[in-house]
Amino acid sequence: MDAVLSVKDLTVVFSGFRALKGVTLDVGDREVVTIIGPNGAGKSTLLDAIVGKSPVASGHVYYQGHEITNKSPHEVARLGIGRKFQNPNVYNELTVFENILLALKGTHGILASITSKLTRAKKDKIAWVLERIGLLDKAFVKVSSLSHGQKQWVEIGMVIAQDPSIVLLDEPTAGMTSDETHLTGEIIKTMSQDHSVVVIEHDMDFVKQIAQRIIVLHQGEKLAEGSVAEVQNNSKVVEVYLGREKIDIAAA
Amino acid sequence: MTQVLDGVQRSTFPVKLFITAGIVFLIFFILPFLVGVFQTALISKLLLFGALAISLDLVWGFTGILSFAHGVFFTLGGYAMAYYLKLNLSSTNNNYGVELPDFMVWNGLEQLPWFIAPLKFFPIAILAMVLVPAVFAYIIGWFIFRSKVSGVYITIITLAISSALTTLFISQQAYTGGTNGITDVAVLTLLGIEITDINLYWVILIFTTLVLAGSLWLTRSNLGLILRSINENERRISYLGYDVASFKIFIWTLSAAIAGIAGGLFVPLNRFISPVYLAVAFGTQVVIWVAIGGRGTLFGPLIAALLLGQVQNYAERVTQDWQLIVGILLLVVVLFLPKGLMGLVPRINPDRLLMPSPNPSAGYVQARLLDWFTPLQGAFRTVQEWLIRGKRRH
Repeated sequence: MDAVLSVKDLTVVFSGFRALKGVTLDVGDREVVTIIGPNGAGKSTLLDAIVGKSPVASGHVYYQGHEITNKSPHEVARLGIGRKFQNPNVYNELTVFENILLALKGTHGILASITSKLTRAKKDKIAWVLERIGLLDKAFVKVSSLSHGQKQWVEIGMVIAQDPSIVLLDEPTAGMTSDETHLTGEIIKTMSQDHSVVVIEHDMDFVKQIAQRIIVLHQGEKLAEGSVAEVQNNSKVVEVYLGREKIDIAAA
Repeated sequence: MTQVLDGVQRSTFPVKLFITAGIVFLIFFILPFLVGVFQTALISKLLLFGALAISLDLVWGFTGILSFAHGVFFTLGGYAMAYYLKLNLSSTNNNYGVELPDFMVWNGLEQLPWFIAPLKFFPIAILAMVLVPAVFAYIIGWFIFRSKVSGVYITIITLAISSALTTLFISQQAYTGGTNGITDVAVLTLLGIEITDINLYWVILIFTTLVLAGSLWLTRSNLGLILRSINENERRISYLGYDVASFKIFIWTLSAAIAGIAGGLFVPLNRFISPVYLAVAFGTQVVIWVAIGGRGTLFGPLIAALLLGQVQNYAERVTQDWQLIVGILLLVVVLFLPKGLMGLVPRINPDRLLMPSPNPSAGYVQARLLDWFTPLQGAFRTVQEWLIRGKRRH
């Protein structure tokens, strides 16, 4: 299986601090890869480096066989890598419909944006996206009046609307109720019919719901990789991450 | 599934608004016959200031770039036109009976500088009126926006540009006429016909109308959506694949070109141009028109420029300190009307680009009316918005 996204020996340095130390990973076509790890493990930094937000000190990022290391964010986005941030990054002053419209592929130039028409195809595409994120009935509502969870879905919708081959989601369920979390899991599973998905997550139940393959990061390095069962039974992982969480729960 | 979104369309230009605008345009068209020569000239000037305010609204109201340099773009266009009119003053009309403008004679120039000479020709002067401010803005914009300078730093740079150019123009007396600027220019003549004040008024009215209509059209396209998104969160939109810098440079340059044309039309009317319009004080006035009129409303800044100009005209007769009145008005607007004068007129405000086709329900209209007529509620909402905005800043 050819990897859609390939990260080789990636190192990111922030004023002397090595946030990522030679991380390597592959993401296959329509695969869901979940990245877990304690705070400060470098999970978000990894996504930042892939999309060109954080400068890569050494190592390479390949997308569909082409090197994209240190390209600028809008170039990476145009190539087909969609990114969702940790906090909902949506346009509160616009409607859900307008948010998705902005994200649609193909109207990124200045002239195109002035002359573009709201075609049938675009409307259908937006409806398709809204159905996926379960917000079809909220199309013309200003985003500012949505709940936190719904805003997260709007942003997932914005990412899907770009028709990316690969979607990077940074803690999509942060701040969600358990019902919303479960629904998000279902959204991600449906997404994987069309896109590869990389998810950063803390919630182990959620990880079990969606994960095909898990990568554990710890202090900027890859600690383990494998299925849910493999990772859960990995002694190093239990020691640095899962175990501690268990102890935390026990203590609480 | 799809029929749910079938009704969606770009909200067409509201018919009522269109008719109102047509009537207003007609009134303005016949206005010179109803008011005196003085008012005709004053309104001509205020319409140009209105166009200037609209150009700033495109970059500040929509895109969030606060600029104090719009007076500079206006004045650069103005100087291009002023050189043209000055150079076309016949030698008999010139104080010194020579082809060289008077201020150059005073300052010992014996020959027309090569970079000013071509402005004697109308097409070149017209091109310069648009291109000098536009290219200048493009260069500044390229450096500012490509280097990702943002927020208040852009504003500081625009202040610096305004101050630097004022100093430059004052110091280069031989070329610019110094503090006095270029005065006693010729009357604008096209194809051998002298353009009268009333003709000039109509030209200006049509220009301002085109600027308003063009800006409305532009901001109602996807471009408007993108500009507003840049304003709210520019990082996010770049991850959607938009090159934010190029959009900013585009609107910035376009805005400067509009300002330049307004400045160019200002000179045949005003009969002089001087560094006063380069200075920060004038740039600030443009900012005030937009703030009082309502950011991102286009109509608002135009109306504010017209109204404040009239207020100033009458206040000046009463007191030298008319600026105090404008200052108090500004305070009131900033404190109580965060959306400016247009915040009082919710229907005309092009708040949403896209609307569902069914008309707003009766409940919605009622709520809007309540908003309108219950001042207490309005005040409460203002305070609420104020608090929320304060919180977001932290």
